[in-house]
Amino acid sequence: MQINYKKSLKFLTLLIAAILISSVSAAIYDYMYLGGTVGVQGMSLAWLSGADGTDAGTTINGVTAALINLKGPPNGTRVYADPVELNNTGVSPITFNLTIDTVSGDTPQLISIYIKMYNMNDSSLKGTLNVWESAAKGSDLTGLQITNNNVWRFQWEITWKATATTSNSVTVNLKLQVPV
Amino acid sequence: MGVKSNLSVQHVLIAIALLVVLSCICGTAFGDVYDLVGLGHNLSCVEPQVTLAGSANGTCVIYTSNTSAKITINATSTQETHNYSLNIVNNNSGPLKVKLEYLSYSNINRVNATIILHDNSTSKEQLTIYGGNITQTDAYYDLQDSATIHLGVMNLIENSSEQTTVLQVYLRMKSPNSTVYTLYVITFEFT
Repeated sequence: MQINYKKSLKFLTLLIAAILISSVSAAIYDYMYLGGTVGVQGMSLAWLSGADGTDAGTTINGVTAALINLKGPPNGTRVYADPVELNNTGVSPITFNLTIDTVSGDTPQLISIYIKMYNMNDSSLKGTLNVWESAAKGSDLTGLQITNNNVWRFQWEITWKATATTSNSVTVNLKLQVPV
Repeated sequence: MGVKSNLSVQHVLIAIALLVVLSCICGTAFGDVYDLVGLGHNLSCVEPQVTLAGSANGTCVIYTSNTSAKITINATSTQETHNYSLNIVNNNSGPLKVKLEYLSYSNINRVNATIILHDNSTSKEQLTIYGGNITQTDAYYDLQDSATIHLGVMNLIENSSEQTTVLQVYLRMKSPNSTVYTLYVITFEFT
């Protein structure tokens, strides 16, 4: 069997070029993926500050909600029943995933962080996200569905260890993902 | 023959190149596209607004941070009252409302008792153990700023001397106009 090395070299060059092009394409799609955050409001999901928004330090900036004042005593459980709410203002249900991006800081002093989601229209529990439990990050929740014109409150339950002090803090970043 | 071989190699290379391009594009375009909403949270540990402390009856053990306790009382066939089983201290946190909620229990039919919160002049019943059942009033008791109140075990009597009764309760605390609350665990052991 004879191989035309000159032509093969050309195709090898083509292959490398294709890989490079595809990498650039992926980067462009990643950018679109990030740019997709702008689209959520168009999909009729919106954050609302809840009844405990002032205590929890809730701030809402576009599609991002931040709770900057969640506090709890050592060896006790602090419950913020209604620090932030999610509202589907649209005309159709929306399915979403709630993912734990990062849990950082003094996590060895944490016992647990749970987020319980309640539908405020019928008070039903829609899901529990174990953000931190048994010294480890919990699992994401997928396939949650919020009905149109419904509001869910996100109840936070925080328990520090008895050895925790006022110098201990933790930062949690979550993502609400809407597959499109 | 040589031409055929060359064509085969070239076709394979083209196919690989196309597959690479397609897989990259499809993987990104169809596999991972989401609209995202961010949730950022900062949590910190704070000094307890309320602490638990030992009291005149000497029946309790206070654990680290003074936010949990165990009360041990010997129940007998004679009815007894322990008015000062535990002290609950408001550490200059403004007025609060507090109540007890049962969390778990075992061998509850062994004793009868009523658990109250009081300040020597006013009181509110919280939990009643009677005939193997436990009921809670869900009645908040006012804990004034910087005040101390007491947990009392009233009319404790054993129905049998077998085993030990264990009752775990939450002490729930909140500001009067807030739905944010804090839970401490208090364990009762009736021997």
